Amino acid sequence: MNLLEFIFSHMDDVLARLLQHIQTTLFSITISVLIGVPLGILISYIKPFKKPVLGVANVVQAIPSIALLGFLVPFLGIGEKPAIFMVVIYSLLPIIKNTATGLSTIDEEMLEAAKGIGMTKFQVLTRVKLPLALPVIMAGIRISAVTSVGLVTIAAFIGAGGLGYLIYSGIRTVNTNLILTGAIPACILALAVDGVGSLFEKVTTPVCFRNNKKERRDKNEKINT
Amino acid sequence: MIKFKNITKKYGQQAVVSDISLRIEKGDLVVLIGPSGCGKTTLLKIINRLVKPTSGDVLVNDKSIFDYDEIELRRNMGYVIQQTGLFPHMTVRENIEIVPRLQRHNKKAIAERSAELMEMVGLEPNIYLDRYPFELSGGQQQRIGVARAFATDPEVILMDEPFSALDPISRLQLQDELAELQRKLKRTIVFVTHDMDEAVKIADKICIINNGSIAQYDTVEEVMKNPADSYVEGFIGKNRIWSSPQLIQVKDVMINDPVCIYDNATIRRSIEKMRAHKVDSLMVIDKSNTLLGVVLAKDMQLVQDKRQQVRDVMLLDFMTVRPETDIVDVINIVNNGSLSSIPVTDESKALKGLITKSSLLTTVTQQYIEPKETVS
Ligand SMILES: Nc1ncnc2c1ncn2[C@@H]1O[C@H](COP(=O)(O)OP(=O)(O)O)[C@@H](O)[C@H]1O
Ligand SMILES: [Mg+2]
Repeated sequence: MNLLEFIFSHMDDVLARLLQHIQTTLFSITISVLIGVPLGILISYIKPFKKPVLGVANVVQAIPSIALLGFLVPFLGIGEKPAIFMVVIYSLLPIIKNTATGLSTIDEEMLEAAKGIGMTKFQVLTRVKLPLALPVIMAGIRISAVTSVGLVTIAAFIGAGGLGYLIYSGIRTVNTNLILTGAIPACILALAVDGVGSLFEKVTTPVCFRNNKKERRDKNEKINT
Repeated sequence: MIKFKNITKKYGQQAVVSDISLRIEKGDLVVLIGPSGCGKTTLLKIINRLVKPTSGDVLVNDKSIFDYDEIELRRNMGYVIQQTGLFPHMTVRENIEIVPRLQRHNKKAIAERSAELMEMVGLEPNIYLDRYPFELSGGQQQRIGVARAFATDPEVILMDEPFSALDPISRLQLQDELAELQRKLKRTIVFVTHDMDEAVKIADKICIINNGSIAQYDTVEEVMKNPADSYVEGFIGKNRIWSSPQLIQVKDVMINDPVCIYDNATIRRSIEKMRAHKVDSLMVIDKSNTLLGVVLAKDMQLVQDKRQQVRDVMLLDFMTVRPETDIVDVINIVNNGSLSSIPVTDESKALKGLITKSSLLTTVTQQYIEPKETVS
């Protein structure tokens, strides 16, 4: 049986696992964003927190993923729970880092002007800082999301399911077709996530930072004259 | 309106502003001026509490700024900075409307106000309101900065070198427009600059700052004519007054003790007096120093009966000027008139002094002679 025939004959199974894979990834990323963005905001305001938070996130990321999974099983058991936990822990660093960087590279004088015209700290954050930092934050989320797709694959090792399950089954039974049936969709998914991420990045980029800035200006000049 | 009371600001041990007391009247445009680093920005930011003074207090409408809600205080003070401080990700409309929208004002009223503000700063609302700041020139951006400062219709407006980064043409234009706007709206404006030409152009009063202290605080005229010390003199430039000759008034250049004669004196007496003082005319006054007329040497020589009193032969039809008249007007009068000298009187016709062609000439030539002396 050639590969394509194999994949088509297992289509239902592949789709179900792909869906589960996407779900686990999305769920993990959502949690990472919910934790990472506020942490990033926090360390951009409270400077003494910056080093310890980034330090911990860095160290955690240095742990090999398989080792981390093994470590988690005694506490969280097997299945999706430890998988999500791992993915979250690994994707935090880029999100925290990019959020903090995005927020702290905004023009100081403009922020002081915002304060000076009577915006509260919260309003400055939500209406000025976050919109301006959004593309950088989105870039962090995109990196995390792409990594997550791969991590969820590995998590099949502790029974998290997803496309990784097909790969492990293939390895166990020395079935190359089965391995590829898991690996190829996982690969395409990673690329797709990257694509969607880049789209999000574009959409969230304020007009003032976009490449077509000049075109807009030229268009205006034409209207003027 | 704004009253600084013994304001001191220290960073570490270094006092950036030392013990400044200053009173800014409602409706005045006061310019804080001094070289870079002298503490102007710090002083300005103390008013809207962006900088907390180390000691002292600032009263706005007789109430300490620390007794106001910080946000309310700022919303009632426009704030314009050099780099415009506009939000790049917001349209012009969003920039102008940000605070009114945060205050949840009526949407329709806000939109009307925006159009009004745009007209006020000379930009067509239909064209510019929905553009982004990067789509505007520097001058246009700063107009939006000014419009935003007026958005909440504040009584006080703080401006920190708002025009310094602009090209010279836009700068001059915006200065003119600000002066015009202020003439109409009469807000209390505190304006920071290091540019004396700018200060002269727009200020009601200027406050010259030297190293965190006030070197002189007075009207532009006073500072120019009577610099408090050599620092002020050096800062404004010795011959600064000549770039705005309209600031020189008759009383600054007139002869204070013109040669006079009482109206009941004889013509003979008048001729003797003119000879003695080497003048060709006399001011005729009464006992209360009221100017009655003028006698000229050339007319007196022709009179047969030298025993006549001067009041019977004096000239009655002549120009007079007030001490406050500016020198440009006087030069025009001298040019057009037949008299070589013009008496200076106050509103009750009392004689105050005399302007002669030579006294004008002396004043004008001073500016060319003085610099030479300082060189040698
Ligand atoms: N946050 C700060 N910390 C320490 N020094 C400061 C700070 N802000 C201003 N200074 C110092 O205070 C002095 C006055 O600054 P500033 O008010 O900005 O002057 P100006 O606006 O007249 O150029 C400068 O010497 C500057 O270096
Ligand atoms: Mg400054």
